[in-house]
Amino acid sequence: MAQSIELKHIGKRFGPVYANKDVSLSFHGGEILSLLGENGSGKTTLMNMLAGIYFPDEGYILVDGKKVTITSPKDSFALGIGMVHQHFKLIDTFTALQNIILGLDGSFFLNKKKTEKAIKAIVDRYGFQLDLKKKIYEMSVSEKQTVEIIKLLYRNVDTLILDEPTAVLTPQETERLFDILRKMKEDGKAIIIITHKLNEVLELSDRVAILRKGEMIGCIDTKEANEEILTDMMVGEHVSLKIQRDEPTRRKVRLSISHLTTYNQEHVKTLDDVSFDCYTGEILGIAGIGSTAQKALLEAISGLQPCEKGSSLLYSNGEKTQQLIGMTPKKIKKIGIRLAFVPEDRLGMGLVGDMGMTGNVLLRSYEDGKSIYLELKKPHKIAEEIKEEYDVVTPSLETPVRTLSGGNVQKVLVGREIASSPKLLLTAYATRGLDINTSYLIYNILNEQKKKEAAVVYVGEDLDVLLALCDRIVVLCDGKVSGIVDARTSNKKTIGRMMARYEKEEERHD
Amino acid sequence: MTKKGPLIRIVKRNHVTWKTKFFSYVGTLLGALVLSVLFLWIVSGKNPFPALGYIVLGSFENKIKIWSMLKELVLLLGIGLALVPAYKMRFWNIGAQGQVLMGALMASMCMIKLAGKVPNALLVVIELFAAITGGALFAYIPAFFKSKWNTNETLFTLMMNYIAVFVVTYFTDVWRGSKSSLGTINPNTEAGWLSFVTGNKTIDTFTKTYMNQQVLIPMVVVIFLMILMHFYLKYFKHGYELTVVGDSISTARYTGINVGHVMRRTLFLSGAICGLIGFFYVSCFDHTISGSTSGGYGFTAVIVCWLSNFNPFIMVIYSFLIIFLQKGARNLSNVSYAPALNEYSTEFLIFLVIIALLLVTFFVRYRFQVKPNSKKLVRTLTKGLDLEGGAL
Repeated sequence: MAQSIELKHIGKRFGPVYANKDVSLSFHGGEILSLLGENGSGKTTLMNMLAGIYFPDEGYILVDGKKVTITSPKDSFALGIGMVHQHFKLIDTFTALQNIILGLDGSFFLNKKKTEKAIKAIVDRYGFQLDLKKKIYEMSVSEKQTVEIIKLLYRNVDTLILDEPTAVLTPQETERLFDILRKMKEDGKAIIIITHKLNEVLELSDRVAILRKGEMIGCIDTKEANEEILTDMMVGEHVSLKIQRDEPTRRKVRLSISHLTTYNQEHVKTLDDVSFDCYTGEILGIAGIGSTAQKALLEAISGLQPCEKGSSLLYSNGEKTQQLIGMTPKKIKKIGIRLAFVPEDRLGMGLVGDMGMTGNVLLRSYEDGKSIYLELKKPHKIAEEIKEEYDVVTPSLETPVRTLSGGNVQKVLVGREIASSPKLLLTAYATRGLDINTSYLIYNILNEQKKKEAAVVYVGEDLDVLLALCDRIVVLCDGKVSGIVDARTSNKKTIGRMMARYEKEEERHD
Repeated sequence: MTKKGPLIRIVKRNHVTWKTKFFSYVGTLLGALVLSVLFLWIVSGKNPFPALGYIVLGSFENKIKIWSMLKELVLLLGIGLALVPAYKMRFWNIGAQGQVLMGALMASMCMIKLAGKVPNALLVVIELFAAITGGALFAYIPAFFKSKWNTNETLFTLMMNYIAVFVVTYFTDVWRGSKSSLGTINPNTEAGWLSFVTGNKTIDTFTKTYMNQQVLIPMVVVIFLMILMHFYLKYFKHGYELTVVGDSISTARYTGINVGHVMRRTLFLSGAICGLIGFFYVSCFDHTISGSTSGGYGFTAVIVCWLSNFNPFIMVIYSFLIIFLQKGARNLSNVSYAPALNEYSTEFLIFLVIIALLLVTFFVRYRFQVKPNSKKLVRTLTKGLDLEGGAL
């Protein structure tokens, strides 16, 4: 009999922030459900509670009408629920077969032949392509995904959850995966895919549930949906925010990006022929679903991400123009370019958690001077000024910053980056997880920098903030620029649609 | 964070006051003392307090014992200092043993091959240089592999120890020829021996009467090294760089630090100091070499380094404690105070104290958190966790 699962009023909090709030959702075997939502809308968190990774703070889960408690992936398997995570959980030096049977209870000795036969049966039944003797580290991303799926099928799960399954696949591989998923559906299994690609939602699923800021916005039949309806549900109504915004003054091109293309470590394209300009005295917003492209963009500009041939990053200080491609962060600093970067991972990338404020301020200037000794007086003074100006709550300047609250950590990071009076300021999710007051403090700081004629790049996920704070917004989709809009005249729906679908110019010409 | 994890979790402490620390350590040492007394009493069946006296006498009975204790202290502290920069960078070099041996081997090689061919003072300088280079290069190899191919440094340095032992054994076999062992190198000419003999009669008589001329130079050098290491880590750009690499490699990359370069440079330094200690072993103390030249200090230094939380000055205390216990235990088994207190059972005392210290060090830095079943408590607990982890 097909399985039915109901989530009732599920809530999950991380500190003061709700990742999911009062979410109710039900589904059953023999259907494919898409879970749609922007970055950070709580899709993965919700599914992690079914998979036994998180435990809900509020609400409960019913499987076939019975209340259940899922405290571990093992509980989840026992109920016939399995999840393929975005980052695969496989052991590289094991073969496919070894990974599939890993962690299963059973007799002490392996009956290799019998297991192999059982797995082969699954492979043939759904038409997978897989060599069971191949080791994981020799496999392509698509093959690894296949192993993950077979792992679940071998455990007899009735409900399969796939987190962004197509993000790493080529179009052909995606087609093949969809065929397999359809076969599973015919077999009576329930399939949930977490995604933000609208075309896939429309092509594959029977129903689609939309989450926004952790809340369930609605669940509709795919038959009744189209791209516009879905994007509108995803981005929601306009909320007006009172963020100060001055007219840009004396605009000059500071950074001219053209044909920027990058690949990640898995050789998947993260940026695809991106071109746009950043001007002095303006805040340029970057919007997009998912964060890989944004991360690649900022890291490419700051010299941390290698770029493909043909990419160009022309930096101009008004007099001289310099090519940044191929430069290390050290080199960029050395030739006198005042570039500041507030990365997404504050403690892991922007700061040294075990050092105090002084040590962290030092991070930007420790190399100054020819002496082999550190110059500590100036950073100490700057740290003191940051503490004063932004009200950083810390017992002392030497207290490890890892022990400070999230808002204070961000104040230290932003304060340090501003202290170098940057000409080009890159920020990634600068207000994520911060309270209202700190967020507005950050907006003010960015506006100050704009007034000082720095070029500010603001990568954000909240469209309301992007529309209220920025002057122009570059919208990315699948690593490409799908449009550049004026933030004063544009609206959420337009941007939402651009975020969800890239309209290829060549195709329009055809 | 709110994941329904194991019943007990380990949480890093944040604000530990100086007082708490002091009393925890003193309390632990007293506790270890009480346990030791109990142990001595149960095993020997005699009054345990005289046994404690013999332990103290192991290091302080007379001038010879004091200087012998100081010699061991200098060697252990020296190797510990070598490990500090690597450990601060979270590069777990457990190959000090091998690096010391390579230094010692290079020094012996110079002593054997160059004796009589160059003036003695020059020979000593060449030895020193060769030993430092040997140790440094031996530590550079695992760092090179780690920086290029991200190999596991712990396994790599561990295996390098065995290589060092076999290389040393090979050379001693070649050098000893038909003799049963290598024996003292240059026993008659004393070529390449380093000692504190100035030629000035007054000074030499003074040092000979009141001090140990062998220990003097290494002692001064290691004390100097200790101070230098403190400054290197705290006030040098190099020290800052390696601390950042130890904290987070992506932060280091973000700042523009060349992580591989810092790794190789730091291990070169670490190995160089090990090589220096190897030089002292051969040139000052043993005047010979074997696969077991550095005893177990390459490994004992790991404990010293950890217990002192990479602080060069605190390291003196722990090095002393370990040497003191070792000497004491040996003395206790030698004086035949009670037959049951032989060399094996007295070793247990060292074990007892070190375990106690490791435990207290752990609990000063971390604490256990037991997860209750009540949902409400989970919430308050996780709230605390978030604050501490700085996750929000």
